[in-house]
Amino acid sequence: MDPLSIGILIVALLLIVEVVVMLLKLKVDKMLLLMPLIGVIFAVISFALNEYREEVLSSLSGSTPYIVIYVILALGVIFGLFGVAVWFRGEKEARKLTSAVKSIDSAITGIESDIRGSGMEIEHFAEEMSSIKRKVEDYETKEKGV
Amino acid sequence: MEKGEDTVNRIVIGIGGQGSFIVNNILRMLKSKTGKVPKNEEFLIIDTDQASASACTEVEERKKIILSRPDTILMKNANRWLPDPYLSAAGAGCGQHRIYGRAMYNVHRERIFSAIGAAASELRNRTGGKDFFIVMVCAFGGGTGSSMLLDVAIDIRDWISKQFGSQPLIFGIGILPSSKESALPTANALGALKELHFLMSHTEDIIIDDKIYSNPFKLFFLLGRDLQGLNRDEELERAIPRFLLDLGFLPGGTVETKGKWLDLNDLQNRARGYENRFDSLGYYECVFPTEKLFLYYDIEDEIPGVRHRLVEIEARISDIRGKIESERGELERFEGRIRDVQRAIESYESATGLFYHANVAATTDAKAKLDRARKKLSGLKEEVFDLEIRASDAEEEKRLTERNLERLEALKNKLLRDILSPLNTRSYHQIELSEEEIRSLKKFREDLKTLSFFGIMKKLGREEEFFRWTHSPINEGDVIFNPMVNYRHSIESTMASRYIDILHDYGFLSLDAQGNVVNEEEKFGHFIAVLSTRADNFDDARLGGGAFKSMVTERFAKDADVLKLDTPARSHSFAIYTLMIGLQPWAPGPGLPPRLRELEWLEKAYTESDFVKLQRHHSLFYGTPKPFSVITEIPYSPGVEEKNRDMVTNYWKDYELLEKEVIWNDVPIVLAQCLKMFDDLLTGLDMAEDIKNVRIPDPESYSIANLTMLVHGLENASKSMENVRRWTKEAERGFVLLKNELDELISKLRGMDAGAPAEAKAEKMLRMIDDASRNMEILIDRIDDLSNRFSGDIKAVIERSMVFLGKIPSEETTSSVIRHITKAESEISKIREDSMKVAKGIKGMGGPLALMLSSLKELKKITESGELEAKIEVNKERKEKMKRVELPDLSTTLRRDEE
Repeated sequence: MDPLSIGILIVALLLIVEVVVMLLKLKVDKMLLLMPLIGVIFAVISFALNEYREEVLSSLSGSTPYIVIYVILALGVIFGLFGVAVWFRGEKEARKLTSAVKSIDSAITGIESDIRGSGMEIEHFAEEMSSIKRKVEDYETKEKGV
Repeated sequence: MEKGEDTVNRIVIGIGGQGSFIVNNILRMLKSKTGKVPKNEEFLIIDTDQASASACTEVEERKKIILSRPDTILMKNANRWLPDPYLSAAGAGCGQHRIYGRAMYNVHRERIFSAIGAAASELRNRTGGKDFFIVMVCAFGGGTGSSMLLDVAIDIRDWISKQFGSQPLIFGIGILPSSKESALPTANALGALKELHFLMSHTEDIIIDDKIYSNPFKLFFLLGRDLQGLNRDEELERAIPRFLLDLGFLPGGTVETKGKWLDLNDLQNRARGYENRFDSLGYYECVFPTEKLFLYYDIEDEIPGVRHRLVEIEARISDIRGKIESERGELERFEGRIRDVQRAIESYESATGLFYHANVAATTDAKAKLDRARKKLSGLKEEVFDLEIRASDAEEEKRLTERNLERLEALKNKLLRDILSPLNTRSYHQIELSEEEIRSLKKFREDLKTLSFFGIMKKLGREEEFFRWTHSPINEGDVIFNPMVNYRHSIESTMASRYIDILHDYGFLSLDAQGNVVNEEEKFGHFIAVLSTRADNFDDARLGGGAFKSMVTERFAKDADVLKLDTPARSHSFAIYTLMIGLQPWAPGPGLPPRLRELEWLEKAYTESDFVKLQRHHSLFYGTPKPFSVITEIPYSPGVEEKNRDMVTNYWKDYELLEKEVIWNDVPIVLAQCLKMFDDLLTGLDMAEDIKNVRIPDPESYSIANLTMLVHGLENASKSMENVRRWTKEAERGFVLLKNELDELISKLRGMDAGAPAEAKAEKMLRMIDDASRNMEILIDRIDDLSNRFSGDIKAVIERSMVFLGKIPSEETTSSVIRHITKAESEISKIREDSMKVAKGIKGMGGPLALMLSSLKELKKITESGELEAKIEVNKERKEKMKRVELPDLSTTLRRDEE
């Protein structure tokens, strides 16, 4: 096997890994999986063309068969990279939304604790004032007793 | 009294609304003093009013004997004697009908008995002691207490005596109605007093149907609800518990006193011989207002802190209000943001295809969080609304607290006023303090707690004032005059001084060192003043207890004592309790007001009731004619309930609160009235005699001066004649009254089996009777003589005057002379007219005088022989009339006329 085939095979393998990761780990939409899958297909085509160059591309002269193989491989890599880029963009958007929600939540929690604090403070005042009232009544009772 | 285990069992029983209320008060005070009820004490109440009994919160529920009204059939079955109108009662309890109370007692007797018996047995088991001390309290005006008191007392005494072999010592406390109460309770009180006096008079045991009819009380204290027209309820409520607690009768054995003083045995000994008379309490207290001062200082210190805190609270509430506003805005802003984010998520999710990626897990999480935030936000909006309301409430509360602060300010000012110028009465004196003293004492606030009353006064440089208010009431005898009933100690102000002089001349009254009138017969038994305060408040050198004792024994009581009670708890008060043992409520003499002034209005209300209504004011012996008959020796008809009931009512109607032998005390007073009247008559006769001495000029020597002299003389004679005419009329009335009084007295002496007077007394009385009879004989002669010649004498005067007028020369009859002649003639005509009436009047006096002479002879015979007939012939009509009529004071009339 010539070095190009090995290279193509590595690219193909990388694209397969991308598909597997996207499918299993990142749980992306199936449509988005088509990109690396197409990339894998292009890589496999470019591998097959390279391997059966003599038979399939014999009609082409000079370095043209290589150009064809490289172009097909490049297309496969582009598809693979595009899939990753789309995933990144989607994730970025999701993070943005999540952080917005988080900030709203924490702000509301802040307001809630503020309100609770004020409520407790008012409750404390009410207790304090009723203790003053009790004290006054207590003094009045004492006054009747003296 | 030493501290230690006291095994005398004590039972306090309150009967009726007022009695229960007082027992509740005693219990409250006892609990606040000792924290618990000692094991040798039981507090019971008996009431027919559920609501009133429920108000006695200090008394254990199982110790409340609440008697419910039975239906009319059961009532009638248990009380055949009960008239139909009284088969049920209006209003609460017994409806203030004593007869109904009696019927209720008959229905519930077993229950009352078993409840009190159970309490007594419990006590006996707890303490092991067999001696019992029982205090019974009730009001005399109500229906329940006043009707059940005597029966409960007799029953419980008999039961304890039989069960434990020892007779209990029973004290009674009876509250008399005030003069402002209605006729029903007022008349009830006299009914109850009559029955109580009847029972108290029976010291010998009379056993009928297993019940002992004799006085169950060792001492019976009468207390009034108003004194000199002032309501004393508050004082009464304070004084009764304090008397029992401070003097150590309750709680037994734990009184914080040192040294030997008045204990139950002492008191019993002092009461010996006076069990048949009433007793009363006196109460005086001088206090240093330490408690008021401490309270004032506390409030004074409290107010700035409270005010400062209120300002802080106001500021904080205002902050919170601002915060609420901003938070409400924030919440609205976040609501918008949530909506935006929601939309963003939705659009993020909705984007699909080859070139789109959506993180489903993240969006699900974000959506959940968003949802939670939304819910929280809507909850918070409610909370903000709620908080706003609470803030408003807090503001309102703050305003109320400000008002409370104002109340506190007002309380402080009231206390200050109370301390600066207290409302002192005759029985309560609080030391007045100046503002400067209040300020200066604040520095020694802590020291005040340990300093004695005297110590504080010394610190203020007011020792003399301390002694004036604490020791002087004893030295000067002021405490004698503060009994808790309207009691007259002296007869001085109620009797004309002329009578007093006569009684003094004959040796019935004496004068003490201060010139006060003293009647040995009328003194009450024991006067005991108990001074209760911390030991260092006494100054023996200044107290002068000996002088007080001699002053009291000289004037009011047969025996007196001053006892010092070292009460460490009373460091800032100086209380003087007085026990007046052996009071006599009746009048010291005929026509004089009763010593117990309450009797005046009680009798008035009682006599207003007709016979049918009278039975509602009585209780004792209704339904038990047999014991009534055995004791009174009035025969009864078995089975004839109505007749027997009316017989009992009749008996009570005529019953007098009087001891038989006391009737003899009336004799000298009636004789003094006779003697005084005779003196007045002599003066009156002299005046009548003097009319004929009018100066008539010689008709031969006419002059205008002589005419003027004649007119003047005739005017004077006419005036004197008119005075004598009025006087004879009054004298005749006076004679009739005095004669009736004398006859009344004789009837009483005969009818009440009063025995014979003491020899020395009889001798003095006989001397008085002899003098009165001699005077009367002289008077009869003089009246006889004067009535024979009076008309003739006056006729001569008139004739001589006419002769003078007739001889006035006609040339002298100027208009002025004519006026004089007309005046003289008019006076002559008046003299002529009045002289006939006067002559008739003088002659008319002879009759009653002769009758009185015979009455005096009869009185002499009774006094000499001492043999009194048991025949009762009391002229009731005359008696009723006599009660309300006072003898006219002829001397006053004469003096006024002379002027």
